[in-house]
Amino acid sequence: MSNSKHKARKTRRGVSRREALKGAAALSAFTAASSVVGIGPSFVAQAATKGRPIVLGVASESNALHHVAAAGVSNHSISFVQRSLLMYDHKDAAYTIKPGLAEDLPEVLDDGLRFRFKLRDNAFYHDGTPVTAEAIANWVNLQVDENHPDAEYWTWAKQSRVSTVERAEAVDELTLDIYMKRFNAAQLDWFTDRSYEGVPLHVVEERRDLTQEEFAAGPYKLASREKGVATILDRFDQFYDEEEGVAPRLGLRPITETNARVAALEAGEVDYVDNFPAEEAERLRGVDGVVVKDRKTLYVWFMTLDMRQEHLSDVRVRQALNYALDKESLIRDVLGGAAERSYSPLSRQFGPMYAGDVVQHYDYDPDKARALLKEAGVEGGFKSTIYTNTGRRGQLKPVEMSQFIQANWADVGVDCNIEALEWSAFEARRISGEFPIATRGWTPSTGDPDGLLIQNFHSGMVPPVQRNVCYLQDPEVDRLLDEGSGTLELDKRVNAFVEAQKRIVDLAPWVFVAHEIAFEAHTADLQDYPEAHPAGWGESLTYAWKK
Amino acid sequence: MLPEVIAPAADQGSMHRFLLTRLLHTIPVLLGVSVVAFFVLRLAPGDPVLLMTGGDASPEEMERLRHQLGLDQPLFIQYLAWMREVLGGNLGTSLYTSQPVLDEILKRFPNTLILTVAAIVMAIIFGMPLGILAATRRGTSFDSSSMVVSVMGWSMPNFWLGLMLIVVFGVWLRWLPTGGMYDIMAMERSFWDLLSHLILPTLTLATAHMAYVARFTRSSLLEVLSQDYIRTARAKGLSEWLVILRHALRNSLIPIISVLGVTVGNLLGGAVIVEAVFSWPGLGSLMVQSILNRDFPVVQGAMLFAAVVFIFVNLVADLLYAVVDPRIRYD
Repeated sequence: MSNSKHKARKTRRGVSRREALKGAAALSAFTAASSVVGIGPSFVAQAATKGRPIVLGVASESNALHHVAAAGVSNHSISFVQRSLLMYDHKDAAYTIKPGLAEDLPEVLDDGLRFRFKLRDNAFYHDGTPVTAEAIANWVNLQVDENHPDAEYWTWAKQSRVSTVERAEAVDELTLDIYMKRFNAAQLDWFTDRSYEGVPLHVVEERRDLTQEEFAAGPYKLASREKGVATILDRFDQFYDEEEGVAPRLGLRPITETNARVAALEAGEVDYVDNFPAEEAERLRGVDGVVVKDRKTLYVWFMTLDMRQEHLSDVRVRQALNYALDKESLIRDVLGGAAERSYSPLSRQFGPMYAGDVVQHYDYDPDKARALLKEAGVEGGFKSTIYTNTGRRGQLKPVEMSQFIQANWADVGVDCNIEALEWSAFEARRISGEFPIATRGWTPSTGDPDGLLIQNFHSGMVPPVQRNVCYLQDPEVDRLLDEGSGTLELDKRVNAFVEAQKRIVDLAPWVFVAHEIAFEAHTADLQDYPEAHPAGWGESLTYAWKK
Repeated sequence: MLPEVIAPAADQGSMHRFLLTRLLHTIPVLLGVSVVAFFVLRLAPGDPVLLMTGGDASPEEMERLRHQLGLDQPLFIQYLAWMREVLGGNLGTSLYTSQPVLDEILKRFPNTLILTVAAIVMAIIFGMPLGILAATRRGTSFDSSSMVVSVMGWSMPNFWLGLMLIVVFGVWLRWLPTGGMYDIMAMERSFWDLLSHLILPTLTLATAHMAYVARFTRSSLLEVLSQDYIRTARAKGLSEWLVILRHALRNSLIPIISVLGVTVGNLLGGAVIVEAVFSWPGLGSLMVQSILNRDFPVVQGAMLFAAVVFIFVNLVADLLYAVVDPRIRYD
């Protein structure tokens, strides 16, 4: 790292005559007052913490800092301000669950139909209100009970992770019982969802606007927010874990254009970026003072094949489409190597649930594809349409990938048009089951496989209920998925889900394509950023500090 | 300021009639914009409730939200409800932020105004002298090369130019910030901070406009310079620069004002690409994000607002004609 660049990065925009004009006085005043900082007219006093503020260049900006009010994809800001009963260990890539607002993992009672949590006595919401069992129970009940007196308070709640809950009850101030409608083996993972953080009781009583305020309990709290400009978070001094929230302040600067975001990192204006392509990652590795990390993810990119459609109803045709695609070349040439090949729906990050080594491999074999098509009575191929989207965060390169697939399939006689739709239009039609063939990329929201497998392959999840838009309705798959989600015994779950994946892959309702390797980059003066951590848009930055 | 104060008394009545007529013409225009803004976005596929819930909510929950937001009503009923609000001065409420649309727009509009004014000023300051010089040196290598440069400026994609400027001045030289409007971690915002952040997006936006201001100035000036009265002025012994600046230039401004009027009006609706490249928090980026989110009230309100601004700017341009050319009357 050259001295001039390092020095330039220290002063954020390099030594320049403009910096001199702005005044060394302003700069030294800022440095001296680094523990007492403000922006604009607001002024926040806080205890001294380690290092300097960290600035993140973020690709998108949440419309709210509370997850129930945050539309669409969650992002960094929410992960810094919120915590739940349980959380994933952000220093561990294995999705290990550890206590959050609860002081320990719950007692599992009544054969998994009741979970008892003991809350920490030193957890507080950002307004200083203690986190109590009553606050969390009220919030959970508000989400699940249509007859709750405050049910109309907030209807944006993303209720999928409380859908198995019947009710919650405060046994005492710090003891919380959550009663389940049905057994859910993945429930511990679901308790990491922010639906279980709760809000102070007065927030509900006063009908506070969660799009403008936050009443979370995480290591950082909102200091100021200007849409399109910046979200500033200050360390919450009452946060229960001293290891988190090391940096005194986080600044989240929305930079939607990828090249501009990376340029801001190189210029030293931001300390962390993610969500950039492999080509940029390669280039950044050669830049002094920048550290680039690969991160294997839970993500899967696939194509759904509607099994109700002519030709696609035949398993041989679906298998042929898999054999006809050269996935290694697609990953190498289109994605620049920024993915691992997908053999089954789950990536290696699912640990023992990963079945890629034991399922049928659809290695590129156009001759075999043609033979299967001939067997299925479509020797001359057929015509169809690949529906894809024009791109959005988390969808890799859908149009380019579709074009590659189109060319591969044309070699075996399957002629497809490509119809690329803007995201909102695409997704609305895709989940209603309109598309015979559609691309999709998806990151499950928990480290438990049942969400991905059940939502996409269980017969009870066909539209409009959920995402089984390939309309797979196989009793054996259902049985295995139910078995896997119906026990807490790990060996039984592993066996059931692995067998389910074998069956699913054999039936080929998807074209299994790739698991993304995500990239993130930060400046070299960012310290203690965990080497291995689960996918989660920089959540582990709560452990980092800046020299 | 409108030129009322300098117009002869006899013209004031006609100017009032002119303004009144223009205001009356505005009504059907805005009505048409409201219809387009309302219905076109709804005709495009995409469900705002689906986007808001991320697809995680059950169909019943989505219906409940749809009902709460009034999105389950027939389109015409929704349109009438919205128009009632608009006539009451209320542009509606954002589906995403629950904030008044007008507040969202007024937070962003000043940022777009700053960028637009800076770009137009730069375009005029550099474009007009270039056009004048090219016209007075017609046929020379300066004339040819300046027109080539202007074609290049006109043709250069904003997106590419902006990124190049970021790389050169922000990353390599570190003279200027790569984007944003202020240093977000500064203790206080200052004029110099804003100025430093303004330079690159202004240059990006102004380049194309500089180019056609130069070209329009040149062609308009050349036409004027061929007039008899210019020959007379020269024959009187006036210096060439006096002839150009005092006699010729003013008469060549009409087409330039026309073009600038349309340009300013468009830019005040949001310079979408430049705002995206430089993360400039203006109206354009608000509109794009709202379209992608299907935040209908914000898109409708922003389009209506942009239309009002466009109409106003062009009205000012029309009034300026009379300032520039006293022969023009408001009949």
